[in-house]
Amino acid sequence: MLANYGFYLIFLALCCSLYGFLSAILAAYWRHRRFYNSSKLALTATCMLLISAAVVLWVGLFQRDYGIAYVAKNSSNDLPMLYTFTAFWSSLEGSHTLWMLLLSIMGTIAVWTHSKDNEHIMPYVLGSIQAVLGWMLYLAVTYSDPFVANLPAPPNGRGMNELLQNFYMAIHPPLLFSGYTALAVPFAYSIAALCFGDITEGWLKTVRRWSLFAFVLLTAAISLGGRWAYVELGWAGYWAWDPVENSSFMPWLMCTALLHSLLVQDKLGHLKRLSIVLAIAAFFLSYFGTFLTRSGVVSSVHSFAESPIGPNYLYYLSGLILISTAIYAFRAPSILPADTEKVWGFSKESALVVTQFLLLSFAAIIFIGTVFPIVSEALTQQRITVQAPYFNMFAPWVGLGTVVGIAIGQLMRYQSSQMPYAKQVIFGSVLFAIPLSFVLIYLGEVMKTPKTVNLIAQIVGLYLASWAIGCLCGDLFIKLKDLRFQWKLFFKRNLAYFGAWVAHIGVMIAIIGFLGNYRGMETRKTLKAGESFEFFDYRFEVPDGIKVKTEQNATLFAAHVNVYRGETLYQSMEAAQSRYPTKDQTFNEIGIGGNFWHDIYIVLVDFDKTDGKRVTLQVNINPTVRFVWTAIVIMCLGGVIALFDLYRGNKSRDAVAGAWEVKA
Amino acid sequence: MIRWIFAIVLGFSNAWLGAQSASEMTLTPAATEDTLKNPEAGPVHDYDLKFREIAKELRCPTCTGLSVLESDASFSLQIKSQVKEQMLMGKDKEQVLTYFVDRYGPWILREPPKQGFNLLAWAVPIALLCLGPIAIWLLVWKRNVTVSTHGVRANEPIIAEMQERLQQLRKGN
Repeated sequence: MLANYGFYLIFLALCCSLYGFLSAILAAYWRHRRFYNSSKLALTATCMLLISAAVVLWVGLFQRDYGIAYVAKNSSNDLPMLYTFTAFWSSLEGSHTLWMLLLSIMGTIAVWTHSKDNEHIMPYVLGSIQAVLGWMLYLAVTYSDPFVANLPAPPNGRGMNELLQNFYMAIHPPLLFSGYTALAVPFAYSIAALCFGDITEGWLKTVRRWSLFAFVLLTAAISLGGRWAYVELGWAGYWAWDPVENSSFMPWLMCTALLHSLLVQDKLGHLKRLSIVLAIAAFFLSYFGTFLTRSGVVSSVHSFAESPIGPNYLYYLSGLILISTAIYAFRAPSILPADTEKVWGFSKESALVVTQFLLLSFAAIIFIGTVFPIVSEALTQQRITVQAPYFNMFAPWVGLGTVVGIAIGQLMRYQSSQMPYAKQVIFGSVLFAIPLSFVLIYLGEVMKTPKTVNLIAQIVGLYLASWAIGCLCGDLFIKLKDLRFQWKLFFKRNLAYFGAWVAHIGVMIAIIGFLGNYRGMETRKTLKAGESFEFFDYRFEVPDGIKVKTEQNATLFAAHVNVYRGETLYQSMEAAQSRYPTKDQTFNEIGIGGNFWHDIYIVLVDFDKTDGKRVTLQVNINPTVRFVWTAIVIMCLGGVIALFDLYRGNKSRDAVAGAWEVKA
Repeated sequence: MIRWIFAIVLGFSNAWLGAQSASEMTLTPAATEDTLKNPEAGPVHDYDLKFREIAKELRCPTCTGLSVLESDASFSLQIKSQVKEQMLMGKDKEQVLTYFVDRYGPWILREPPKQGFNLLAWAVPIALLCLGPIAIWLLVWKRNVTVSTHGVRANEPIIAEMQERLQQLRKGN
């Protein structure tokens, strides 16, 4: 019963969206205001209908209405409240609905909060958003309807995927999809600017705000995905260069590149076309990511939903590329750079071009690595694998370029080859970095790295990152000195600079964190209750074998592990295997302890099933993992600070073109 | 000065890239760092650096994104024991990997082989990282663009000129 209403709502949303698309096109073509208003309301109605459809699905989940196939597949009677809520997006149809829901919400917010400067391009914005949304709704109606009936209703559902029953995975998909769909707004504005043939100041302000918002969301979402892999999968890492991880990372890189090209555009009026291309590419890649995850073209630990919907995503992707390229090819000549007097040469704008180069080539390498197995197999009929070692080969060099680029680029000035105080800051940081990197090396116990190559890489990396932190601090000091240390003025006017500064410090801390991967250690031991073993300054003791516990819907077989440092008890942890009633399989519940400098990561690999008195433990020492989590928080914080910069772009520099010609 | 630092760093990085891929080819001698005794293992145990080097290069056939070293799937365990067998026969890293490629195809390696069509996967990124900076150098850094403004924009010389003219007018009055 409920299922019928749900489908009806989605179908209505599709009709609304199609109408919205057509009226937006007409409004744009005739410059007709009433059609525009009507289209705006159509998008709002689509959003409301999708919200209602989502509520219907949630009601179905909470009422355990197994007459809906999706509910029967993804929940069961014993599922806790939180996971019943998140079961909404635990497989294909639901996450598709979530994607549409978030896109319609983002689109609605974007069209109701647009600035006056942008009014003339809003019909195109509406049209672009509706074109994406309409296609997704069409797919929802034809291929991935979440409300397919399952009658007669079974008494219990099949249960939610056990790996997804984790706090981080509960909030990861909505965040990631919010990031993806927030990128739809810069995309729509880019298409609109191309169609209209001009970029105004208001365009820049809006696109900057939305891409910054998407940047924060994507940063948080990607790291939550990594955190989920770290605490749930048990291979002691957070990033495996898995295709799905890559496909969430590529839009992030594009979004970051977009932010930097918008900066040049804002200051100098150049790189306008690059910004447009990047905004389109960022959204294209986020859509490509959705395609990779859903189509089953590549296998991944993160793909929980595969279906025949794949080819349809591909059609849409190719359509998206074709149409965007065509629009760009025909309309790009109308987007002109500003008449800025002196640009490029040895100056900050050139440094920002280097940033673009690093980010884009990194994205290109990741793209090649992700799609190469598919292409190679299609062309040579030979299956090959591209995994972590390939990416790890190139990533350090991009990282090196990033560190040096950020450190020196920050000190440069626009339209000028002068670098005030550059010598003092750069050479001062060379000295400052010595004690800082020494502290990092000493406290991080870097010298214990077994392999010499890795040791050298770490020492060089830590030194350069410390040097870059020195340069960044020096630059902040110069900026403040120029303002005669008027803090109020600084925080009123320079929040964009300060946010970027915080985010860049975050990048440096993240790189220090990533370097810890070079010195991870592991061991595996089988021991009886009461026995202990020594590893990396610690003594691990299992006092009393396996204990059986129940936690919500899971049964835990937990081994209590006491970690001693010297003779004193340092920490006591619990590594467990969990078993859910719906599946005959056990899952790792990892014990994570340690301190800021290294995590102690204990996986219960195996235990004696008869008396539980013998356990096999895998112990990893993962250095500086917490640096990475801290760095991500700092980067997000930087993005949020920059979002509050309201000063930028308040005054229109360019004239606003294209008033309405009202036809009643 | 800064240009030189930049150039040196880039040159250095490329040289190092070459060196690293070369060291990937030759086998590093097994370090003596390992002090852990694993009772279950035979003459080659799981913490032997040489064994880890090899096992890291082979993919786990049944999992995604992991090497056999990190995986406990039954297939991976088999491959690991095969690696140990081959090592006991005195083969070095290259020979062991060739043995696996002959049996399973290049698919078993975690990197694409550096030959034929697959060479592209290596050549393109390396070319990108090496040629990109040169292109930027030539197109952007060496170029000082001065756009003719046709007097449209109110830039500083014009403002100065206008103020001068205003003062002259005031004096005239």
